[in-house]
Amino acid sequence: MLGMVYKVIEQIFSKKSTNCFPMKYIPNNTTQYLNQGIIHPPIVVKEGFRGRLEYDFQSCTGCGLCSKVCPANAIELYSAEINSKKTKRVVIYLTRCTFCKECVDICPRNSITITKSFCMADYKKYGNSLVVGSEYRQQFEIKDHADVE
Amino acid sequence: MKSDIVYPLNIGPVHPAFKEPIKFTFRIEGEQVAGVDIDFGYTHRGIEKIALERNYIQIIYLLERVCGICSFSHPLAYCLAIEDVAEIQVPDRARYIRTIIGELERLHSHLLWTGIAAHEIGFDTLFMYTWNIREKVLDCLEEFTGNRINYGMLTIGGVRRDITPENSETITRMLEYYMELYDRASEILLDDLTLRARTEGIGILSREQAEMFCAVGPTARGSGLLKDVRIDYPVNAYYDIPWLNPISPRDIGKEPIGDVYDRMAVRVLEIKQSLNVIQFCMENLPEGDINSGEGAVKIINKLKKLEGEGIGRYEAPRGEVCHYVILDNQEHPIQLKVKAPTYSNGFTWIPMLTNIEIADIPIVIASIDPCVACADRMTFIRKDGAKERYSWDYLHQKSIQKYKRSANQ
Repeated sequence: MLGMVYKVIEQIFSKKSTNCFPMKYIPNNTTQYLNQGIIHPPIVVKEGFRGRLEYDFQSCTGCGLCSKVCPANAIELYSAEINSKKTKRVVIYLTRCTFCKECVDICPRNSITITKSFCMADYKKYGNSLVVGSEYRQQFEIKDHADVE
Repeated sequence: MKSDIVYPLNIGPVHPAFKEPIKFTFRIEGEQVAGVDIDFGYTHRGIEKIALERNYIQIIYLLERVCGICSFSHPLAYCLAIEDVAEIQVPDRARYIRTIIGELERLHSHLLWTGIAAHEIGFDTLFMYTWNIREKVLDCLEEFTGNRINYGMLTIGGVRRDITPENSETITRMLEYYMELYDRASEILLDDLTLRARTEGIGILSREQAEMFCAVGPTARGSGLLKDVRIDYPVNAYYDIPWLNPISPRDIGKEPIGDVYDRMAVRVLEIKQSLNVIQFCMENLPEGDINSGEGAVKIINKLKKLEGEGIGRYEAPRGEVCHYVILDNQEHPIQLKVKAPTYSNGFTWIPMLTNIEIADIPIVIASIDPCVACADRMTFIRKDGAKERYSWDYLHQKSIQKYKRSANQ
């Protein structure tokens, strides 16, 4: 019995053999920790792996082709006002995304790109980390109340 | 042992022996199964209905999710149906790439099935061995489609990604790996005494019964029917392969009787056949375009102006997949019908399961490689939970009523 208690206490204070999860708790610069053995290196993914999407707000023209072909309806169009001009922009809900790359192929301005990052777990389903482009939406969206009624 | 008392034994809808919800009601006499009743309809997802609200490109990705293992066969059958209506010519290189991925899928499906069959009879070492060697083909698929399953490779009129020289090297290495392993693996699977004792003479489906129940795929071929959509109605690169023949247990010198062993033999031999087809396609891979070069939106706009109906057939690892679409000048089809292989094979369970022992039930059920969610295309829900049986005449009448009404509108 005492041996077990000793073991448990030893386990609590021993070095962790797994990585912190969700991955956002891992520091940005991991190379210094790798040598110390605090964290484990991420898995190497193959060429052509389809991971997290990235969105370039500046080059987007708001044509809406991506939201038309998206099989999971994960891309939402909203009205925005940029340089006092009314236009449209998109947000991508990664929780719905199936990573088919259709939107990347269709985009005429290459505003959506695909990365190899696959660690997307987070506590909030609609938090900023899982809705690509949400920071621009908060800044530029025009909330048209007439539409809601 | 036979007994005079007949008692019912319910297995399912949720049971650890099945991977998907399905309900069997057995009538048991002693240790023998005297009869069986099968209940489908616990995992209906309404995919055909959802498809009517999406455009032609979105449907490809929806249909990939009909079945996890046949995630290339279902969208391929759909693309073939659409290409049939729109008369789109698929480039030669795309036809060959489609064939290669289809055969890689068959390879991994059959290895998966072999593992499951070994697991069902309690031979877990073989289960882990086959699933270990299956990783190689999954790695290969991951490398040039991006995913282990749900590849997202297809588009209407071609494929989306090309096979690069690095990919073809990986495929060559994979082929060498399997060619080396095949003799040893087939020896274990076909000559092992334990496996033979558990599979020979069990779950017999005679040739006549297979014809009567319209069995497809390895189930039909195990009963001695020479039936293979790749040869009977060739698509893709199967036109160009002269030596392709339906596999039969006769190839290993055994007269087929339609037991579990025969179905296993067919699948093991098909692994070799798939390897040969992939090798043929890699050697004869033509140069050129991989699709029409039109974007997804252009394809949708083109199909929006079309009217007509099309049918696409393809030999999935489990049997024939058939998709039927009707186009009517809209952004989405007005009708889509999916016919999965288990839809035909499910009824062959009735003769197979009759007069076997209780201990053989799991392996006989697994022997047709069931995919219940693929086959669940219809469900009736009543508020009081009562069961209803609909006859052929009633359903026929209903369908006539529906289409008369839509014709009058």
